[in-house]
Amino acid sequence: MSANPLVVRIKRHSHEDGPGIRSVAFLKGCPMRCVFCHNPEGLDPGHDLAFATTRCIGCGRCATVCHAGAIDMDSRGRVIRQECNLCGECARVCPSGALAMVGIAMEEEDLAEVLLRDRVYYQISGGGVTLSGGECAMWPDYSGKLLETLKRSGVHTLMETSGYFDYGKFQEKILPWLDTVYYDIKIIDDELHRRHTSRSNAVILDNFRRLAREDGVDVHARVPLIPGITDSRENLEAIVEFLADCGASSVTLLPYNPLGVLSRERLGLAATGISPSFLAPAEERKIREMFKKLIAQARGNKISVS
Amino acid sequence: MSGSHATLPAVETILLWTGKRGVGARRFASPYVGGFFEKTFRKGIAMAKITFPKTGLSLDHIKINGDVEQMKIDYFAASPEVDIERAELLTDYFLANGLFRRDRITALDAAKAYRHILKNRKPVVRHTFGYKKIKGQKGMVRLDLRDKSPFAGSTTSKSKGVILYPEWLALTLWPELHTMENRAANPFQLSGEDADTLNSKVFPAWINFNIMDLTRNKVYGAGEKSSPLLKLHDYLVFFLVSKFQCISHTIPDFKKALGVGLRGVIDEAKTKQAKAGGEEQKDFYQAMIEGMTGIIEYSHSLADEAARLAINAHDSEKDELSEIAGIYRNVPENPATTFREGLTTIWLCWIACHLENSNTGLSLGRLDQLLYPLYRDDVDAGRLTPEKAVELVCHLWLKIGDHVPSIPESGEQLFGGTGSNQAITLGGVDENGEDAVNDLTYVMLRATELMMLRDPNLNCRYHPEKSSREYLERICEVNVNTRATPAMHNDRAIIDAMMKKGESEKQARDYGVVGCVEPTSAGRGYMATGAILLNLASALEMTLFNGRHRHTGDAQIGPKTGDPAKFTSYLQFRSAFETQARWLMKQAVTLNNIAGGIHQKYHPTPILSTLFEGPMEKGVDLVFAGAERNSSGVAIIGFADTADCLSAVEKKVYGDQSLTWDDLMDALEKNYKGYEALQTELRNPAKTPKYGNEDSLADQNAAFIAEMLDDEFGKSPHYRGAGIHYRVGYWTMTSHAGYGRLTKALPNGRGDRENFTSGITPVSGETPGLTKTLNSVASVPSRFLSSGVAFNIKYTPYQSMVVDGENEEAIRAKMIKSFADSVAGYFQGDGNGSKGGVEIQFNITDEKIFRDAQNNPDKYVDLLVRVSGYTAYFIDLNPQMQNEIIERTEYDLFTCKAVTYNL
Repeated sequence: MSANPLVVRIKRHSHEDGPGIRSVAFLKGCPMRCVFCHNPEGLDPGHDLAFATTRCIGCGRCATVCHAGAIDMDSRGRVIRQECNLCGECARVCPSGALAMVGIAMEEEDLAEVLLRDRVYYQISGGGVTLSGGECAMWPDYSGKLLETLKRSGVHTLMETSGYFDYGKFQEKILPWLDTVYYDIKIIDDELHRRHTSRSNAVILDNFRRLAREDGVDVHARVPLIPGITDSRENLEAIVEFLADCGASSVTLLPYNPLGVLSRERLGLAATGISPSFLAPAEERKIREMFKKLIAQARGNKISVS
Repeated sequence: MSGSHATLPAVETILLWTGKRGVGARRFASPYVGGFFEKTFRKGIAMAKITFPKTGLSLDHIKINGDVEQMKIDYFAASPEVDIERAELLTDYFLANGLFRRDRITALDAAKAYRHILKNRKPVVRHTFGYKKIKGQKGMVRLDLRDKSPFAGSTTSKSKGVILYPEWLALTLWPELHTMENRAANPFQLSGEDADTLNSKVFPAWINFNIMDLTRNKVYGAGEKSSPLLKLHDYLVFFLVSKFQCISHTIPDFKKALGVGLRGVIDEAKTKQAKAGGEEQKDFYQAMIEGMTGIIEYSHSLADEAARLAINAHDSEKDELSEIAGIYRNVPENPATTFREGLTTIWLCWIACHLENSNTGLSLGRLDQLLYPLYRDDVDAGRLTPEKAVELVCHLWLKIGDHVPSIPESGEQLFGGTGSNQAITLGGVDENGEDAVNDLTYVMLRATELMMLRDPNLNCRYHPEKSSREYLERICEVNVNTRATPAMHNDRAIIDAMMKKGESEKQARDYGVVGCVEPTSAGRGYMATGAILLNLASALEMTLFNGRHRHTGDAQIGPKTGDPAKFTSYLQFRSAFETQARWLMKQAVTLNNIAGGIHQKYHPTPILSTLFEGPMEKGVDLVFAGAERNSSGVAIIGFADTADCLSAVEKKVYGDQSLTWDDLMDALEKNYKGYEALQTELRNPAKTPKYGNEDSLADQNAAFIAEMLDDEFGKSPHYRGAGIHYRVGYWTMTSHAGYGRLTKALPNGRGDRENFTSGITPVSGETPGLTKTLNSVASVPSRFLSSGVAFNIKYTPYQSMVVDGENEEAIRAKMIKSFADSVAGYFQGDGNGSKGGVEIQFNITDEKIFRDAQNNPDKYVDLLVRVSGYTAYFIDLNPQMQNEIIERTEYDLFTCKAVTYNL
């Protein structure tokens, strides 16, 4: 594995990944394999070839340039994955971008330059830069240097993490340059956690406890709502208990985002059987009501929704 | 006070006059005299300008009352009626005085003619009926009106009139006099009797005496109808010179009319006249006197009419009519002493301006600044409440929209759905560079929000360092609520750009917006900002075809710059484009200067000249450079498309060398048929550089174009005299759709007849990141954009984020915050010498609503949209233009899905 991660993409003018107007850099590579991953382009640290059926105009330029015989114009997924050597020629000639290589090699300072272009918007809106992935804590040197550059330029920094990382390295390289951590708490039962994410949650929960005690960083727990996986009463109740025990002051419920299903298809990855559609508003409201009650119950005091 | 009157600035003149006249007969001392006027306009002494609480700036407790509501409903129901009054009176006067036989019309001739119109026109205090179109029926039906306006008089004799200017382009309506009622879009009512008058008397008289034909005959001589310049103009696809249509596109100065009254202005002209040297100057001052006298006579006949109506009226209507009679006897002849009188003075001067000059972009300027002393004085004295002020402003806004331009059916493509584009400017900084926002700014914003009218066209100035966040959020909120207004302008960028063109800091700080978006020093800059519309894509077309244009076939139009297939470098191609573009600019300027000469001979403008800084001092009409500041403005069409064409050629043909000229030209010839993959690639911003995406190659091509245009027009000679030049603006009305229809496929992947992009906006669908787009547009150096830009952005309305009414207020608040953040960031600039973006304007409507409006127009009579500069009603636009707006990139300001809980 090289020292530098690849960048999946840079999202500008985001309002969903922290306060204010933000730029979000998604780094490639993740130690976990959650069945409900909504951003599977971030899983593999190497390049991926993605194919978006809806954008394909059927011109056949890809088939002409492919030396590996990995393009099948008649197949739905277009790419014969076992033949493909990821040379990227097909994506280069694809006029619509239906075929695209995922993963941009960027020096940390080049990435910082792009992320600093919206500095004015960050200042005005109370926004900043968010690092996401993948799991950017996998790249403590790169992420740390990047965050340092941003922080020294007066930019608010935030990292979204699964919590599955080496705490020592995280604490040494990354933490000094972070204002806020968005920390996913998915499943409390370790057996279920292993089944749905491929990893034990022991490190994750332990890291959260330690991080919550650190000074100078705002740690914020987030729970992705995955139908049939994280949204059970038992799991949400256990999460509330865990967070209260750690002294957390707030928690965010993330609505279920099924876009990962489509992304997996584009990357030629096998489906994991999760729901391909958003939660119905009524359904989501029910879960939120239940969650509110659980919090009220756990703390025995009034809950305000912000 | 001592010294020569001639050298005194306007304000001191006012003080001087009042001192002489005395104010004993007045009910209240004019606040323009000695007190407020001096404080606010002259010394800039700080005073409590905002008394509304920070949380109450929206004034949302103020609603419109039943009368205004009813008048608004009637306003939307009424179809425009062609009004022949002005045209007939003017024709009668010209016939009676033998003016059609003259080879020069002096300011005095013109002023006497306008006085004749003002004196003899019907004084209308109450409109009683209009006409409306019933869907699916031929002709129109009568619509009864309940007119309760405190403002008597109207620009035409109708409640919503089409003013006819036979000296300009009214004759273009001739072929459709009997069919206008049944036009598919924007039908006009016209009685058979009036059509006969036009047919038999009015139009024939002007056949050879309108500006277009005077230019043909006087410049080129009869029989030489095919002069190359006029022919080029007639082809339509290269440029349009609006001298044939109007003289206006500027802002009058109302300060003297308000401060000393028209009688005071007349007295000043008499003093000047007595001292004037030559007959011509004496006549010019006499012209000023005639014009102002005409306005006073008109106000008196309105007063008489109101008094006559009052006799048989009852209750509040009797009181109202008597009050109107009293006010109209007093102003505009005398100084305005109340807010309502101030509005009345402006309204009557405004009518007079429109009887002289065509209703094309003549604009009102900074009304919140101009009227604030009267407003403050009235409120402080307990004579006026903010509620009453909002009501008065609502009435004035309705009046301002009482006329529409006489656009022929064929003109709908280029200027569809347009009103008169009467811009009003609010906010910004004062002459000392301090925040000038006041209570009246918020009163006028509230009235705008309540009325949701197309005309007047509201513009708000914002200074990144001086304007308050509350003000910014309020103008964003008005956009959210009206869906399309006001447009926003960056004081820092604009004042800097104007100063680089020679305005003093003081003059630049007092800019108002003209027509669509064009900044002009209010009341002293005669900038004729809509003088030329230039289709830049035609220069590119001629580069591709060695001086020919596919629209005009084999004719050699531009210079022969060579076969592009033989160019060995991009720079060679770009320099050929530059040659074509500069040639085209020279043609447009030459024709405009020729037509300007015709204006000087046949259309001096004494009323506007009197209501302006400069002509009184110089004794010279505006058309002869009487104004303090002079220029003419050019509007560029096809900017983004042309820049993207250059970038496509640079990258694909010369950079990657993945495209040959043979293939490209063949693809253009075949409208990309058989070249679909190439077209897709050329349209894809990930494959081909596009302006508006922070792509340096593309943005540099855009900046190159802006610099070249500014350079050429900025040094072009001007008919009004030495040292006067042209300025460049980027706004397109609907002509980007109209010109698009005349233009075949282009190298940026745009297909035959597709719309160009509006104003300075990047090409739709090719700029997915909002801040990237804002940064790119802001990176076009503002000093090259001195005549303004229209940058169109579409935001998803917050209502689309609300599910089952949940958290609506929080979602709305979040939208307004995000909205304000985006505007503040765009105007802020990067701090590396950039002054920030120049202008930005919005549509806050999503595709669902637009599609529904296309299918059910009756449900959406007041659906307001921002076109490119002006606002229009969506359902008035032709389908191509409707689709252009629907296709514009829509940005989400946020999603409201994640919910946070406190533990």
